[in-house]
Amino acid sequence: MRSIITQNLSRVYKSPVEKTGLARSAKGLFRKEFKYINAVTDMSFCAEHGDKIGILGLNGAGKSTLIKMLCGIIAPTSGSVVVGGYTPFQKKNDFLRLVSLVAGNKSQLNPDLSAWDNFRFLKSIYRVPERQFSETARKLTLLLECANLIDKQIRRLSFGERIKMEIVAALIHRPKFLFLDEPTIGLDVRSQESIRKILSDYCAEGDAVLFVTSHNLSDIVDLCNRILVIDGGTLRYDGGLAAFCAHYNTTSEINIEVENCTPRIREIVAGTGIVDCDFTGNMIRIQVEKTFITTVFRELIQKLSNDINKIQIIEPRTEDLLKELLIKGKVK
Amino acid sequence: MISIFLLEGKKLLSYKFQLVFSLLHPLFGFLVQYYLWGALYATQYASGMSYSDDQMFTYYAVASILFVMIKTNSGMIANEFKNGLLDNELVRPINLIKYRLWRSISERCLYTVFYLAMLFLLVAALKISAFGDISLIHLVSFVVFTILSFLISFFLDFITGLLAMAIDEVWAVQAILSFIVNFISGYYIPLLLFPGHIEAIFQFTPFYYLFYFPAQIFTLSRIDQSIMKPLLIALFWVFALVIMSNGICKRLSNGYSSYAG
Repeated sequence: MRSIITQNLSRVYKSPVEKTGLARSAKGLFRKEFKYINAVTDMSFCAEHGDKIGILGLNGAGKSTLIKMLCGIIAPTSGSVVVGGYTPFQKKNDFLRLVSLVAGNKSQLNPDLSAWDNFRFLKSIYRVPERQFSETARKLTLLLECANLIDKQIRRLSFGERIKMEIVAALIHRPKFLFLDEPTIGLDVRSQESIRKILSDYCAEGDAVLFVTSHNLSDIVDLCNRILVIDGGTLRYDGGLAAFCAHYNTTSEINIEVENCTPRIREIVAGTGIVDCDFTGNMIRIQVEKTFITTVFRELIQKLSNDINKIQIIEPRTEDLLKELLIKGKVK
Repeated sequence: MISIFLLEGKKLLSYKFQLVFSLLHPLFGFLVQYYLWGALYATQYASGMSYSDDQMFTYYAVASILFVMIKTNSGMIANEFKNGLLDNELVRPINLIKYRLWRSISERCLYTVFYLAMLFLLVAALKISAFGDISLIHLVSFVVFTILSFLISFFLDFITGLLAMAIDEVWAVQAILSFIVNFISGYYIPLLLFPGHIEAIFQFTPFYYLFYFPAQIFTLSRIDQSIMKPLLIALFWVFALVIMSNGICKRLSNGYSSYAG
């Protein structure tokens, strides 16, 4: 069953143009100019229960805008979006009880209250039964190793501790649609892993739909089975992570350690149909097209058998591949 | 709603110094008026005044209590709108207006309890014979009009805060509006001291019911006159402001951009 459907979803922001310099700013007092920014353009996709979707894109690509439209915070300028049978922007209470948002850069909790008081407040507004509330809060705080902090005021917690509390708060009412905007920002490696595990288990148990945006690509790789790649507000890729990597990962790397990197060795390496190579000391890193990897590998072994100390084929980590594709804007 | 009420109270009690010190503003305001009018009543210029000195002190004491009871911070929505901090409320099953209303009720209840204690100590220390002959009917009328006054103040402040939809920075607008409202609502000077036609005009505005009319109930036993007309006008303004707030709130959602990530 399709639980999220968007069709030609677009959002345009009207933003005043701030002129540089005093004279120009003064001129702006009498005539204000605006520019229109297409944050999201004609985006169409569907999601089903159990989907764990990573949204990838550089800063300003439109990731957060997309998430805000999906959870009803902002209205689309055009197009349509249906989440769980509801139009998010109508903000029906029944819809809002199905949704949860964690934005790492903006606290969802009241900083003047303790985490426990925040949880109690959420219990009350989401009408969570007492038993479910106690079980969920206890289980999550134990898993995230923050049970001893629940009586502390949110403003007195460290950044990482606050993020943990945000995650607990987001799951208190067991939402069916979970939107996470940079959920592991500022967390240590162990906490990142705990959060990923909790989220992964949560989605598996409850059949929830998960949307994650993160510049920590391990979040995407560990959590998501599908990715949306956005560039300049436009959806460039929508599909499985493995398929994405297979499609875009066209080269492999061969690393060779030699006794001494002589000109003869350099000449041989350069003549083996490589894409790119790098000589650092006695290490040679060679980029080869995937289709020629066996041929090149065999040729190198034959020609350099007496010089090679060690040779290995390195497949790029998915995170590195994603990073490279995003930075170089190769996803078209 | 009860949870909002209780949690807001708990939050305020976490900052006891802030609570007490913020109450010094109306308390000092009352002291200034007390000495100012005390000095004036000691001269011959006060002979034609509509109030006796005790009535004047009572007026300012009640006005300062009303200041604490009705001054909400619902206008803070301007900051939340500007900085994109409304996300928390927009993504939760909370009514923007009710949520703020209950928080303000809790906040004002707590502030009022503390302020009354402080003011009564001050009044006793200054040996002012304020609040002398208060009948039950005066008290009930005062409570009813104070509730209406609180609601008018809350919604006026809220609507002013919503100006952030049109202009980015509303702090100065809020400050000047607050000053004007305080002036024409009789917080600084009782409207009875203005020319008669001014009071006659002002009674059709919502501001008249913020400070002046409730304070008059204590000061001049205003309840002896017909209460129906002011009650109906005050109720009209409450309903009008509720409808306006709801309408603007819906537009707010459309105009909200949730900046900053």
